[in-house]
Amino acid sequence: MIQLVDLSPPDLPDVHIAIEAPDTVKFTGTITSRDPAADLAPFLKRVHSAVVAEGLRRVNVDVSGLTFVNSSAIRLFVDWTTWTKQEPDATRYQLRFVSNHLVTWQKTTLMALKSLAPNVVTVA
Amino acid sequence: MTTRFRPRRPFDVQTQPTPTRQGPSTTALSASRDAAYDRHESGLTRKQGLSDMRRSLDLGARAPGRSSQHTRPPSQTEDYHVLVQISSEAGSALLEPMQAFISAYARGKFRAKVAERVGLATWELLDNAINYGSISDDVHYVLAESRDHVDVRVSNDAVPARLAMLNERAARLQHNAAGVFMDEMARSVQGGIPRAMLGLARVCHEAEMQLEVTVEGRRVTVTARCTR
Repeated sequence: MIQLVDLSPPDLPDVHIAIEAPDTVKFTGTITSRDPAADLAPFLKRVHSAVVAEGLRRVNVDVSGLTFVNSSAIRLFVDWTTWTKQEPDATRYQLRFVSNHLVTWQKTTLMALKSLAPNVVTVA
Repeated sequence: MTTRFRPRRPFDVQTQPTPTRQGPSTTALSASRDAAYDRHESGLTRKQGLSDMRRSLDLGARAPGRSSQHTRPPSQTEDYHVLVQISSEAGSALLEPMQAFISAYARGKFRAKVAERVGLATWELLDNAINYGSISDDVHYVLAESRDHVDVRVSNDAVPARLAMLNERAARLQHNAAGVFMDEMARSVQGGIPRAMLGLARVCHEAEMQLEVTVEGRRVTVTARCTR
């Protein structure tokens, strides 16, 4: 069984991704590529699968250092929320976004995600 | 009879100093430009490479002006200045280098919040122009400022159905940007194709910019404006 901490994040030019034990995925930088899904969606899917396999009840998604994302990148977080929502009760986990309230996209987008998936998303 | 000019270079970039505010130093701007273009050099597919673009920027080369048919100039006032204007063939290779360049330029030019808004509007408006516009003519980008406002303006050709949709969506956004943003996020949660409206909704709701859409024939110009 592959655990979350065993995953290797993609090496991308503008965004740094780190996995911090036991349950944190941290993003730093910006996501401005034209098709971020090509780079990031497979990795996030592996994260989701590892979290479910490990039986973790919560994942901290630290985006406090993510200063800008385009709308295509927002869709990645939306997709991740959707995967989590679709899990049965026994394996569903919480997505706890660690945010910086001074960064505009985090205030608006994360609060919107929380409104749309209150049983899955929390914002710290 | 309208004379159409198609620049020989894939990018034609003009940057102009503004007399109302001291711009970034030449060294800083060059460094930002170089860093931005170096990073995206591998993504450029045009035959003419970075050297031509750098010459255009360094010399402040003026591309012969486009016909007014293609871009509608804003109402001119004494303190309204075009800072950057770029014309390019519509294509995805345009987007990342331009957004990187404009973001770096804006960070040196404006306070942080305004630079953030300019960067967001630049990306979202250009992305829509490339994704949903017609490739029959160039995409034209303008960054301009007045004493009180900063404008991001993108012009492109579009098919009639798209023009009608854009007008309708701009009206909805002007009426209730927050509501439209939530609607688009909800639709994204339900899945489906990427939505142009989410980008425009971000410009209005997240960046708190006023949006204006003007149509002239098949040419659409979307302007996002914020206060300085």
